[in-house]
Amino acid sequence: MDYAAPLGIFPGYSSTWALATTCADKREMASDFREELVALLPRLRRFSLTLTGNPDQADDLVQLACEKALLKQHQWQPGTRLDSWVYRIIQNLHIDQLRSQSRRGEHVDVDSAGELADTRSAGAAERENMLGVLSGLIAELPEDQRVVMLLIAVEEYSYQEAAETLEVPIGTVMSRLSRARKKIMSKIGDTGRSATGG
Amino acid sequence: MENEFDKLMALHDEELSADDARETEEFAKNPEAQALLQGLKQADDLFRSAADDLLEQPVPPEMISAIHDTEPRSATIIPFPGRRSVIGLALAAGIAAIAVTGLQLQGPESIQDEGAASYARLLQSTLESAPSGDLRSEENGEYMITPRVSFATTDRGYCREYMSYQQGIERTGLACRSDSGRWSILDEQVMSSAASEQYRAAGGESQQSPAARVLDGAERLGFDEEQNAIRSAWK
Repeated sequence: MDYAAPLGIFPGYSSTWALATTCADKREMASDFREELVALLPRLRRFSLTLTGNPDQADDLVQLACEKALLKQHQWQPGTRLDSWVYRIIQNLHIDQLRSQSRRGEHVDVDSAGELADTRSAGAAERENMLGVLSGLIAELPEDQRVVMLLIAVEEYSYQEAAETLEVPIGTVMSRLSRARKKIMSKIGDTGRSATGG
Repeated sequence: MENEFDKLMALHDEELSADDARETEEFAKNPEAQALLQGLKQADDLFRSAADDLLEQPVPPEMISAIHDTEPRSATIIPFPGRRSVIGLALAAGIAAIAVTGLQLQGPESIQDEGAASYARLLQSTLESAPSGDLRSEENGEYMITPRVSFATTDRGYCREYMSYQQGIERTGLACRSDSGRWSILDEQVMSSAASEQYRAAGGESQQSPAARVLDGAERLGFDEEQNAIRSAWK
């Protein structure tokens, strides 16, 4: 093998200059990735708040998730949904935090964490504008139902996309969605009856 | 009723197949089903209204700047603790003249130990497990390394050429795997962007790769061969 003639030895990387150019491309991609993350921030914060029910905790999670996304950006496949990928990171970080709290003896039931978070943040709802938006009947939904509603009713994910993002079976997505909607419809009915004196 | 609700819900979400949708639409003509569909729409509208309000909340500037903060902490040198002796041995063995342009590899006294260890770990793990062309970055994002091509040699076992990047400094290097499983650097060259332009302007296509400078009689691995080598831990 003739190494004195590098051109053609390494297809796509025929010279050191080509190697450097490839690295420059990587940096440009990294910059684009950051811009995409920034553009997603409002939605990431909404997802995180919907998940946690606590504004401070939500922003901490978004911050952590963005750091992690930047570190792992090579794992994200361009052409796939970046929002879904970062949502998954946020959710996994949230679960890790709940498990960590549980290990420290805070007795957090991961499966019912949403409802517990709502109880804890009940006071904060009065103080925090963001949580105020989520207050009322929506905040009464358990975390897992809120998140499914957000993905499907608001962000128009398909059942399959929601299942992949939340890493649960599609049947679980449907049952959570069904329970959430029934609960909201029931509340709307109660409100309507109250308003009409029924 | 439970099943009917789910079907209506799936119809509402446009999740039914064409046949199921036709069937459910027929069923949905009855007043009770119509009321349910209306209720689903109201529930979604209510939730969406609250959720959309959340998007209007201003994003804290520090959250944006944290994402934009791309400047590494400091250090302009990528160190390789303990590698100097390896390179020295390589030289002593008379295998090849090690051409390091730009910055020379620095001794431990001039490097940041923590960064050095992080980089060394990343280099080891990347060369051990990453296919050529796969970009790996270190935990704090300061370093990026990409293996470029792998070789099987008669006297040094497996070797890999790689590209690394840190704080504006790009390097290309060559490392070979010892029987103990450690990758030792045989050659490394610093290339800044400006230097890269010079290479090109001066007809840089004739620049030698690290492999060309150091290895002799090496056989480049094909894609499948490299995959097999990684899978078998380079045995």
